[in-house]
Amino acid sequence: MDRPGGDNTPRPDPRRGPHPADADPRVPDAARIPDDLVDAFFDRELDREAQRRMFDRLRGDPPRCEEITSTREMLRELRRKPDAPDLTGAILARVESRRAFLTPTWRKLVTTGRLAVAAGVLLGIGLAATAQRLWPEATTFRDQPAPLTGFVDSTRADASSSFRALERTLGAAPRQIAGRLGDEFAPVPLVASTHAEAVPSDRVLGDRARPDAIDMAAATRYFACSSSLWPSAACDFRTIERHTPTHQPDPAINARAAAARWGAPAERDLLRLRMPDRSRLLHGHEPGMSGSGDRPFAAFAGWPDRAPRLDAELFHTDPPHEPDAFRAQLADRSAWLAEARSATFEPRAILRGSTGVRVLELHVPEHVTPGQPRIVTRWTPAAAVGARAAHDRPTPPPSHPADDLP
Amino acid sequence: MSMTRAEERKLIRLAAAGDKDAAAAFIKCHQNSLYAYLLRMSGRPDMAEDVVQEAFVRVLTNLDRFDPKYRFSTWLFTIARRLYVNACQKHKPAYDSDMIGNWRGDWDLPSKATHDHETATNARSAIDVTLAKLSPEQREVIVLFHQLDWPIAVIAQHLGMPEGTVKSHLHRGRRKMKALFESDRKLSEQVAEVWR
Repeated sequence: MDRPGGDNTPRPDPRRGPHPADADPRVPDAARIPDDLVDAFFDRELDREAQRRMFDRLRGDPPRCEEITSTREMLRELRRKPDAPDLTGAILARVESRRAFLTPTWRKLVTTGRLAVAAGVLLGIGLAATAQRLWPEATTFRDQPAPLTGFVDSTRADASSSFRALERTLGAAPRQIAGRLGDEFAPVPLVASTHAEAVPSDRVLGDRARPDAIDMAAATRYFACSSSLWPSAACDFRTIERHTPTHQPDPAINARAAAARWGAPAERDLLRLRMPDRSRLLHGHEPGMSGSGDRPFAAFAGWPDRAPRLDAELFHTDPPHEPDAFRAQLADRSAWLAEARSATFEPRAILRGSTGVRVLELHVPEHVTPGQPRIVTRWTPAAAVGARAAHDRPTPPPSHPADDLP
Repeated sequence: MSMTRAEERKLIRLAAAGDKDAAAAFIKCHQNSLYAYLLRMSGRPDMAEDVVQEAFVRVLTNLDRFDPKYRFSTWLFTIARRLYVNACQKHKPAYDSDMIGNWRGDWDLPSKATHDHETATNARSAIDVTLAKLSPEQREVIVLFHQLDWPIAVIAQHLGMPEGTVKSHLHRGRRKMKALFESDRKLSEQVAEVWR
């Protein structure tokens, strides 16, 4: 390796000591080989051509030639490795004491076993992936995101128990009201028949953007009635709820819708709602119960003497947040609500899960026949209830639909 | 005895799987250079043997941790060097002429006292004496470069120092060693003339 710029004039370096030719005046300065070149030579950094040129220059610098020769001789001696003892046996013995060596047969067995395990794992993963693809529901370990399902189940059970409680109450009701009712309205024992159905979309409830539609949907949350006590009122409360009083051409339906909305109409309204063929609707013989999500209320339309009071006084608590107060109020009511105090009646269970569940409806078949009881349970989110409350607050409808009745 | 990277990987795989022959091949391939390195470094055959054995035992029982992107020899020498440093902390190496002479057991055998052999032995003795007078860094760099033919870059990585520092140790150590070697040789020649 030549010096940069081709200047091969030796440069004194105080750290390196004197040049070997310093003591030989026969060597001109220009012929002296610098230390850098010698170091590069021994560092194996010179290619063949550079080495040849350096050897040519050595003829003119005998002291440096002698130095390089002796250094090469020293390094040659250094490269001769000392005689080393064979430590193979001792090392293998020590290794074997810590870790056993395997014969070729055992090594094959171990290798085969590892391959078999790996293949089994891969096969299992493949099968799992295939099963996941073919039967995703059967192979999903997490809970399915079906908030409505659990709620329907709990509500159905709760509604059924409540209805059974009501049934027992109603079974005792004839004895209480027998003196006041004629044979025509003599109640018969109630048989509950319920099933659950999730309302699939908002369309079922009508246009929820319309306050009056929301009003009707939100007003009737929980409605239980006895068609056995209500033989002529084969009304479909779903139909009622889907239509607003002002948009339903049938005045009878409008009347029922208003009653459902109001929960417990005044006696004046009850009289106005009485119809020849469906005179029992909301008359004094159809005990019902309803409640809203944020402010439950009761509509015991069949008990004219109790309905206003119940409506005004009974359910002014918030069952989800004040269950104890709600039970206390229930405990103070009349005897036919005694069953509602039982553990099976849990308004909180009915009302829970409103978040994320837009509408839940438990109802009996569309066409109710006389003698067949039914339960209607509706559920709407709090936003809809708030919209209903805002809508209700100003004034009742200016023209009551019942005004059109004969 | 040297092997290619492919052969080395194959042997590592076999040795890791428990093949005794592969482990023996590894030992035979590297034990001489490792022993020479440690002997040059320590000047004590007993320590060199101990460190060589311990290094091989550790390497062969931890082959599954070996990173194949490095040379096996580099890994082996790194472990050996750490063991040697630990051993030095426990027992400081002692350089004395008796010990250096003793580890060549044929030193005092009259039957082998030929002139050539004696000359070579004296030269190797001078090498050991001069190596012992270098600093540890210079000694290790010179042994790794000139005896084991390691490249400068590998030495720098092995010792954890820049290549320029390695070169500096190499140049100074080589010059110092040459001067010591020359003076020792002249002294030997003078002694020989006296005995003649």
